[in-house]
Amino acid sequence: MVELYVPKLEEYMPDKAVFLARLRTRYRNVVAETDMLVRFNELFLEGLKVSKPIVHHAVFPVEELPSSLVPRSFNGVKRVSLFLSTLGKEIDELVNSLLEENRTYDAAVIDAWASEALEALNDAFDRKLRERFGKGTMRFSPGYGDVDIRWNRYIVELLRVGNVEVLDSGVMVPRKTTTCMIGWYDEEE
Amino acid sequence: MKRNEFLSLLEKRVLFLDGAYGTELFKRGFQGKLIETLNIDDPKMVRQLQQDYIDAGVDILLTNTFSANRFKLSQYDLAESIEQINRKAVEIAKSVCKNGQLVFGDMSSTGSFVKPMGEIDFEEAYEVFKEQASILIDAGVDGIIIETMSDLKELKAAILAVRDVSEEIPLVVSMTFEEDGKSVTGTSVEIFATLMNDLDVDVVGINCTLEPKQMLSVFSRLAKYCRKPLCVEPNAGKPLLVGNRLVYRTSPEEFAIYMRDFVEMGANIVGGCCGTGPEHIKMMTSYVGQRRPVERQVVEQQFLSSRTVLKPVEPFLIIGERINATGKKKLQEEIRQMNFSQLIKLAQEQEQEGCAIIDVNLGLEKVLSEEHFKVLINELDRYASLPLSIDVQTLDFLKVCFREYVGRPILNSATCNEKHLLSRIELIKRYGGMLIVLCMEKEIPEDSEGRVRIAKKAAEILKSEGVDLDRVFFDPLVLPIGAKKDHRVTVETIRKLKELGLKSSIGLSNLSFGLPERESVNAAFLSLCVDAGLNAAILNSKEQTTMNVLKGALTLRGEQIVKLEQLEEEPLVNYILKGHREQIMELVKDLLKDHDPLYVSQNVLAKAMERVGQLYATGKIYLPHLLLAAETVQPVFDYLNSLIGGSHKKLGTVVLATVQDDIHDIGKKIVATVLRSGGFEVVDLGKNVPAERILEAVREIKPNIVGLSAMMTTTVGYVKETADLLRGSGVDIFIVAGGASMNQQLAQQFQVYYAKDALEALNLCKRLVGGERN
Repeated sequence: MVELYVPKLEEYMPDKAVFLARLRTRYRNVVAETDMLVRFNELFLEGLKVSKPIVHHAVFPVEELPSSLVPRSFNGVKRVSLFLSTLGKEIDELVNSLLEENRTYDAAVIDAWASEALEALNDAFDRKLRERFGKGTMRFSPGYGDVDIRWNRYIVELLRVGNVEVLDSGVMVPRKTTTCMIGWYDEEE
Repeated sequence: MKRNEFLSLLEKRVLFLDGAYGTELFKRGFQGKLIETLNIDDPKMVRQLQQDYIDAGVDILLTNTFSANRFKLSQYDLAESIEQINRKAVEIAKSVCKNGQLVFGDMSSTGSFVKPMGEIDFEEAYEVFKEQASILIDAGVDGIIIETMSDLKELKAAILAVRDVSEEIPLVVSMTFEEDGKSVTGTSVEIFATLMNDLDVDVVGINCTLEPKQMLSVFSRLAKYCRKPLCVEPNAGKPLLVGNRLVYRTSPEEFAIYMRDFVEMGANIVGGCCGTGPEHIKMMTSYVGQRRPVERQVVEQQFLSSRTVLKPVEPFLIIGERINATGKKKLQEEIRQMNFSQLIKLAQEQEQEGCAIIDVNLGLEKVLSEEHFKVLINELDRYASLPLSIDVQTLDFLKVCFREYVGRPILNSATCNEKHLLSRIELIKRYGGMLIVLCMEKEIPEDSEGRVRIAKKAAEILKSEGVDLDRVFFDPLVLPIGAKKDHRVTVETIRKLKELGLKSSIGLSNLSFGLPERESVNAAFLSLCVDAGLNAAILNSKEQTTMNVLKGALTLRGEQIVKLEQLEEEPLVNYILKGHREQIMELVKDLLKDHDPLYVSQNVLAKAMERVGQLYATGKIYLPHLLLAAETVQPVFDYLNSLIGGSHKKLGTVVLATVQDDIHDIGKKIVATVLRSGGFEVVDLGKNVPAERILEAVREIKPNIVGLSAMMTTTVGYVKETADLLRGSGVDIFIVAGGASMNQQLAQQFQVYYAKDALEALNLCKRLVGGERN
């Protein structure tokens, strides 16, 4: 059964050192530039305001999933959690509108922030699942290792996600969307 | 908890402090005057808030005792309950700490300025703090926090008081600054930092007044200059009125994001002040997480300071020598009579001539009392800006000077006699500052080797006492060449001290004692000393050749004195700024020969005061100077008004009052002083004034303007209540509100005018009586 999870703010607030690193900026080097910190923070808050994060998730017996969707490193797992997390289309629209206004710098900051916000959300949800299912594999996403990115379409359909489009390339729209899977060794919840 | 345990905890990770008490308890329905009474009347309410803070993840919980000192409690007729209120607060806080959280006793200001800015004695403030600290420590707190202090002198009294109760208790101290990094009494965050580096405190911080965004740059400056672990507690923004409730605009997530910046800047303890609640603290602890503190790059340079001026010691310290009564009979008599006007003039002259600090040597110590030194230090604080070098021989007098002094002075001088030196070391360790040590014991060695040997011995004593040698100048001793003393011994001693990495300072003028053409001899010798590595000199800055040669000698050494920013103002403005009332009166009387009194009042004196106002507004002078200026010109205005007579006397009348349940008076008194000097009649109704009393006074006095002050977020609602009552009673009058809790948006909501400080109040009042309305 597919469940939906709406995260709390603190579950998708990325650490600033990480999101600034994505901007190739070393947090420690910019702390004395207070105007810049304020600008980063205002964009951070704008990102939080605009984002509409949600997680679609379900757990499946491993034998019910196509074998080429399951990574070789999942060998021995009994069940697999599949989840799709997205910040929603609004964050894409914000980046686009900033670009249209020639605010390239702000757009880049928001884009970097959103990527790390999604990562923070995945980490938080990962921890949540492990509390529930116990021992599992590392988190894995199509497009990495031996799983083709085009499996995204299958996962979106399996989880019956309505607002995410998967292009032929496997890339998803809204852009700040990921699919992930974790394999569980123990059948006990 | 032991201090070393606390400090080692601070090295391991960033600690979380709780949020506000006043604003939270009011939000939860408290309707009384003083939240500390809840400790007795409704401990459950305090306990619940503290439990919420514990649940939010704090490491340090503060006791609900912010205003529970005798001075403040007595204003609510609660002085007799001081012990009960403080003890119960500790008991409540400890009862909710189950997992090793620490309880820190919370202390803050008396609400009054210490002399010379205000009315209470330093010793009185000290006793007030000592009493509260004793109760809190005896009741078992793990540490003490002294927070929301706006005056460095009052803070110093509190620190000394806590340390006299316990040398072992962890102590966090925190001051409040405006967005420009200056306290309301003109102390910059750098001055605060450099003094706290010396004093026996464990953590140094800033809190209140500013929201996180505004506090970033102030904290960044603190982090640059302070060598101690740091604490920061911003407000959750300025309050806004929504319905009948005050709300704060900084959301928990915004608060948390900024608090992460403070951690990255080097904060060791983070928490919240006014407007922050458990939801802010929870978001902060969750977002910041468990972190090791960041290592900071701190400015290593040494500084000296007064209350408002910070002077770097490098590359060369020019110390003005002329406050020295030796051999000056008239000056000695004036000092005996407690008349320090000549000394103040000498201090001000030496500042103009380019000195960085001023040496104070009264001589005559056998015939003077502690009161002489106390008054002198306070007068120099009021009238002269530069830091001091205190050259006082009698230990008790020296102690008085160091207690009263606001800033980081030099103690000049100690000999290498162990007992003598240790007593001076104790003073700079207790009160802060730098030290000049003479290279002599009972006798002065004839050769440089002997003098250096003594310096080395002193250095060992200093090191064993934990005094960084960077805080010490060694005086190689300059002896009169007229007495056949070899000046080259001094030069050689300087060179050897330099090789040992020790700083040196000389008293220059002794060289030429008894000689003709002293200036050229002094200048030539100084040049030799600078070349040998001299770092400071006590000299006569009136000697232009000496000053020029010094600049040249430093240039040859590849250094130059930091150019002094001197205020170039017209004479009248200068007289006003320096408090020279007699000269102002002379100048005014001279003008009255050709002009009528009204012209002199409005076109000369008022214009000069406008200039003073501009200097204040642009940060060229600070609040103490503005107050001094206002006090100085007031009698001159009164004199001119007595000549004008009748209807021209005043621009208008202003009734001032601090609103009901608010006992903070400082800001309003400043406003009153500035309004009076600006030409207004001011009637001050005092503090804790109910709306009905204000209405009554307005009907009786018929002023042009009512000025209301509200310092506390919990009393700001009375501004609206008073304004509503006045309007509802058909009184058509301008209402101006100000104080720490007011802001432009609130004023608009209350439909009153807003003035952020005394100067803005004066300008606004002038506009309002001139017929201009917003």
